[in-house]
Amino acid sequence: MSPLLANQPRPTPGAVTDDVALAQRGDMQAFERIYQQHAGRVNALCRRLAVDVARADELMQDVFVRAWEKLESFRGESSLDSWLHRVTVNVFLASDRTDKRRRAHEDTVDDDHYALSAATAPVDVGGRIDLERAIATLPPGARMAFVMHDVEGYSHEEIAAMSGIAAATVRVQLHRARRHLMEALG
Amino acid sequence: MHDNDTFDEAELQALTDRAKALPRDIAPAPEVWATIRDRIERSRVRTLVPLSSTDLSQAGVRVPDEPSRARSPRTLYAFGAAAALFVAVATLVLVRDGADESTARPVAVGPNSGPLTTASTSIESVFAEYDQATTDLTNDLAQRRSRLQPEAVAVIDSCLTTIDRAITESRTALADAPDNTTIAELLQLTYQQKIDLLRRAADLPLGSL
Repeated sequence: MSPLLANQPRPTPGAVTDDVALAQRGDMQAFERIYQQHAGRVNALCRRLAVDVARADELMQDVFVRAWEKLESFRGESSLDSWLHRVTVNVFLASDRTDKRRRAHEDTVDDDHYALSAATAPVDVGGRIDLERAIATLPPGARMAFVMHDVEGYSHEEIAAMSGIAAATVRVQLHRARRHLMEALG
Repeated sequence: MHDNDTFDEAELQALTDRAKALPRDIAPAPEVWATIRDRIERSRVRTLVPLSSTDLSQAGVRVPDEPSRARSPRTLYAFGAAAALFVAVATLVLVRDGADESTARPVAVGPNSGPLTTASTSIESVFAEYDQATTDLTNDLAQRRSRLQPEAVAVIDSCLTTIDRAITESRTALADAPDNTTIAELLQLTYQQKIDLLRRAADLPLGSL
């Protein structure tokens, strides 16, 4: 696992910064500064949503390519952090839908597939390792709900708005995730 | 439904405390940004040219969607003009993609037809010449357009819209990557397409398509 970034100053929530305005007009250097400022938080989310480091890196790339394409739509109604998290969740869910279609086409496995993925879970050091590995074994929907709610601190309603999933479904997924994790962690 | 309706509260609290303690900031691998930047640059270059008849249709260029259907000479002409533009631009890209870097050269002839080197400070003057040439031809077209067939004007305008968008995108991309000779060459070729189209429009007999 990559080293942790020190806490960095964050732009004012909801503000369209100069860099955002420049990037919206196609300034790649401004977009790189945005990347440098937000990459750590987005990467942490990608690492937990994806089941292994390689897929997390792919997700990270997809998120920032999508963010570049969609940045014009950012109007500062939320913080850029939250907007990037929304992009991340949507890219992740779209990717998961594609994976599910492929698996269905290949007539292989269902969500239990993810319980087999512990060996490829993100590797970390210290006391976090068990929880990180256990999160990686969750089915995608439950994993997203747990990470966004219990790790990132979003409410059910915020997660629902970000993901397009009903808040009640988010609650069910979170409940399922917690139960699974408690069993896994003993 | 409560989140914790079947959980031991202390156990749940311990889990959520552990979750909150997880790091929310993890540095990505250093090479990730380079990959992202490359993907964005490639997608920018791809937008410089229409890649299919679907793209042309979306750009407003009339492209018949049923090849077997009988077409009027006018439709065939419009299709031919759009197809010629598409094939010419696509061919240039294919030639460029397949060429060895050391031998690749612009194949079009314009106000200043020498191979572009982005290191040269004269690159802006080259494009200024193109701008002047296209402005002159555009003014000529403006004087003739009311006497051309509306169908012809529509085809020309559609193609010009596509080309102008490509020019804008490539100039933006070149501003971000001034040393990128591929983008500079694509920009030069796109300008040449515009000049060729405007010259062709200038040769159209009045009142005909």
